[in-house]
Amino acid sequence: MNESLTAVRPEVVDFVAAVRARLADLSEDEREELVGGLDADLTELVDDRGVDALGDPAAYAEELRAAAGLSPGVARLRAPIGARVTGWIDTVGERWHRLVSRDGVRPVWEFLVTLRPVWWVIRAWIVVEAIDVWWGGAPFTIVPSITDGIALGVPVLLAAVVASVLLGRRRFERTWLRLLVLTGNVGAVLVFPHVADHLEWRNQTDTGPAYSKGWNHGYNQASSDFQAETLVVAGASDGLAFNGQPVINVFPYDANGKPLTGVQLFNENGDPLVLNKNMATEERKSITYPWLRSGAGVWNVFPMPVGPWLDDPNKGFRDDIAWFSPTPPTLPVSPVAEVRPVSLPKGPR
Amino acid sequence: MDTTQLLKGVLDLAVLAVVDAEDGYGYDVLRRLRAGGLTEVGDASVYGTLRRLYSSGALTSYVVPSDEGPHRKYYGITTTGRAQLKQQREDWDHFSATVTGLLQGVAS
Repeated sequence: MNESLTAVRPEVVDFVAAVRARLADLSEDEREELVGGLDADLTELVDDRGVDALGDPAAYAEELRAAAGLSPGVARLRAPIGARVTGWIDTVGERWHRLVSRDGVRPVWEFLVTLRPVWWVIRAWIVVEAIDVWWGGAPFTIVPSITDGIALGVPVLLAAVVASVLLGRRRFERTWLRLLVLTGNVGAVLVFPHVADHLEWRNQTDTGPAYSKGWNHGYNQASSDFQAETLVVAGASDGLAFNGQPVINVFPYDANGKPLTGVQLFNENGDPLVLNKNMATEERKSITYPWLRSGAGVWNVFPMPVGPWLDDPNKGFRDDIAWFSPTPPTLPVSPVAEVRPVSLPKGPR
Repeated sequence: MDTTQLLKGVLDLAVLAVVDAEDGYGYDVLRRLRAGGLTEVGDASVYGTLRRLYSSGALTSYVVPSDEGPHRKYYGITTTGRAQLKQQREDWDHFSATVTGLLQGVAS
């Protein structure tokens, strides 16, 4: 009796275990069908030709699989990443189409499909607007500016719309193109809230006649700065506001339309009307300083002087020492030199 | 010429023929194939083929317990397997005759 046949050789046990591991993706039954009895066969093989005849368990498992006709399983596992991604997209697409072809959903979906060109235009706008926001070309307007004027914004937007529509009208077969279009669409949807948040909607509505266009622009720019500032300044929402926007400064005029200085404002309860103390003016280079009473700041006196912006997180944004610097705070120039006189029916007072 | 590609096409036929001659376990079938001249056949290919033919119903399988060593898994041919063997044998005869004829035509 051949002594080595009394048990399975340890090398064979290891080898079969390794082969079994390579077949882990198969079902229990399939795997057992493949490796069942293998230890007996391999033990005899080793007896005949030595341990070296076992070879590489991975290659062995591959050969076993292929010969057993389980190669489709291997092919699926080993498919190029591109084919797999295409498969995923197709699967999701099919499920989606099955979902929307249900009786209740179908009319809604068909209606939405007719709106696809609208989306093509919107996504182009979102992308250009996102570039605008990213480049930081404030103010952010409905028509993207890219640079300071809208000179570059309009052609870029038109080009983006044309490209987007051309893209929308085509059907792509190549995996990376499909993935690119898919990513682009999802990205546009995700970026939209961010873009909408940055938009300066006021620019479209606020065309107050008393303000010059330049002032309006400056105001918007300042409020854009403020929006950035609100992220770091606690209590930034305190203080006087107009149309939901914090007021930076107040310019009183008398009934004859002449600018006034040192006007103290109170509300109906006698409480001082104060601005947001952390409100910066344009580009955060300057900030309002309070009038003084016995050396202490009084915050409801207008117009407020404008002095240097100190970007010191420990001291705050302004320092009284600024009054004694070479460039002390000064009263700002009124937005308009004079406004038209006003009166009550019986004449002023 | 790399005969492994040719072998893939006729391995089913060869395995069926060997098992038809006499029931056998994996290594036994392999040994008989090699003895018959298919020296390049890989053992995993033979085992895999046996499993596949068993799955498709061409072969039947039974385990022979062994006191001295691991149990052996024997394969025998079924009626389906015999029909398949007959069909494939005819296909092979036809195919090889055709190719032989072609080669002789080229040679002359």
